[in-house]
Amino acid sequence: MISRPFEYFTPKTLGEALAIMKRFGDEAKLLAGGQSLVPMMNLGLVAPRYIIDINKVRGLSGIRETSRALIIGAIVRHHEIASSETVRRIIPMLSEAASHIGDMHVRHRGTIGGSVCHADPAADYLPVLQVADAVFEVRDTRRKRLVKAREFFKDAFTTALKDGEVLTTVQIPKRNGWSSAYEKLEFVAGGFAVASAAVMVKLNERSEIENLMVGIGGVERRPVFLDLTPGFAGRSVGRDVAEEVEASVTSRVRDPISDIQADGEYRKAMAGVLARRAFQRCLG
Amino acid sequence: MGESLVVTRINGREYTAKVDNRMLLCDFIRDVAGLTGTHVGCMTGNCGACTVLMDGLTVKSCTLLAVQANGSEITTVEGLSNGLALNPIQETFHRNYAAQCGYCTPGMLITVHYLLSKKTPMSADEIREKLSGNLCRCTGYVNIVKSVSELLKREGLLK
Repeated sequence: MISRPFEYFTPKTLGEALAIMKRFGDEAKLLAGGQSLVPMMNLGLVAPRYIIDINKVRGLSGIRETSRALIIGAIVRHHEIASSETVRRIIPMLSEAASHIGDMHVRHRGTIGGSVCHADPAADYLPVLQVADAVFEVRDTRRKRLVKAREFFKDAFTTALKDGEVLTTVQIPKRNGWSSAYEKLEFVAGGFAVASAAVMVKLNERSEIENLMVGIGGVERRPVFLDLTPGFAGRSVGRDVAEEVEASVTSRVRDPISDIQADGEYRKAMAGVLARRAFQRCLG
Repeated sequence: MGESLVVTRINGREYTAKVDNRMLLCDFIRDVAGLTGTHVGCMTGNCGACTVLMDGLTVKSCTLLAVQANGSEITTVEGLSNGLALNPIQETFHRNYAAQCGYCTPGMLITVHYLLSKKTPMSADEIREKLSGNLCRCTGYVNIVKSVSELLKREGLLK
């Protein structure tokens, strides 16, 4: 039994959920997949007075595609993302990241919105969403706004969400001619990333780099986004370029985390190695 | 304040109880329904001893509140057999010595039951990945993977 009592709400609409959020402010916590929140409550790390379970809110589920974007509802679960043909076709690295999260049971429950808002520095989605230039739609009782993934993560477990705001959808722009890949280093099966790298590349018709974006997870207190286009545009792809990608990424990690899993220098080195591997996979 | 009514079907039987909101699904299964086959290991969603099926998908029942199972259909290890004879998964585990202390076994059996029901072909590596949410602290994985391979092979699903 969790130690501190709480009141439990199951709103059926977003409007109801937002009204409850507004009423209780930061004493309330949204419960989506619960794969981080419930263990944290079990451990006594958080003790919210009000739990707002959004699993039954209409309109927060489902993956859809418009002419310009892939739109994923906040409570879409990792296993749905990992197995969606639409996601795989539009942005393969997002499927890969989803399939690396936790284990099968966790993926059956955990949600993309929950992972994004929890903002664990080692979460698999974060570097991917930054590289893909995803946008989050967030709402409160009065208005909705769009926040870019590249501006959303402020610190470890800290986001740009304001009191009373709920993330409703993750929107990923569709782009032609790009390839993408995600690489993760974990020390135990189902573990959080010691380091991870998301890479998106666009080549021109002469097989020269036109655009190159890299995202690094698990290494700094928030995901690192690197636009390597200025240094690499116009280069023909080859082995030496991959090694330069590694060196470039390693040199641009500034403040790596040192903890019981790995020290900062190791994480920094692995960021480069994983970026190189993901880059090479992008090229086929 | 602090309590909710839960109506849920476990192994085909309906259970109705007013429970503390703080109650976890694993505790509801064990203490309210009295089905102690579901084990509780870590309480942090790591070990998988408490794995059950909820509405057809495997979940770790220590990461859900009991009230979240309101209106749901749950299957626990007790639901896999009639209580008299072993089902084919249990029989295969038994024959291969796929349990040492047995603590992780209920979660393993539910997971394997789910995997077989999907009828997806799997290799030995894929079996290991799919079982990675269930820890065996005796490290008796070899015989567990052997059992699952045998069960899949029987169905023509071993890659």
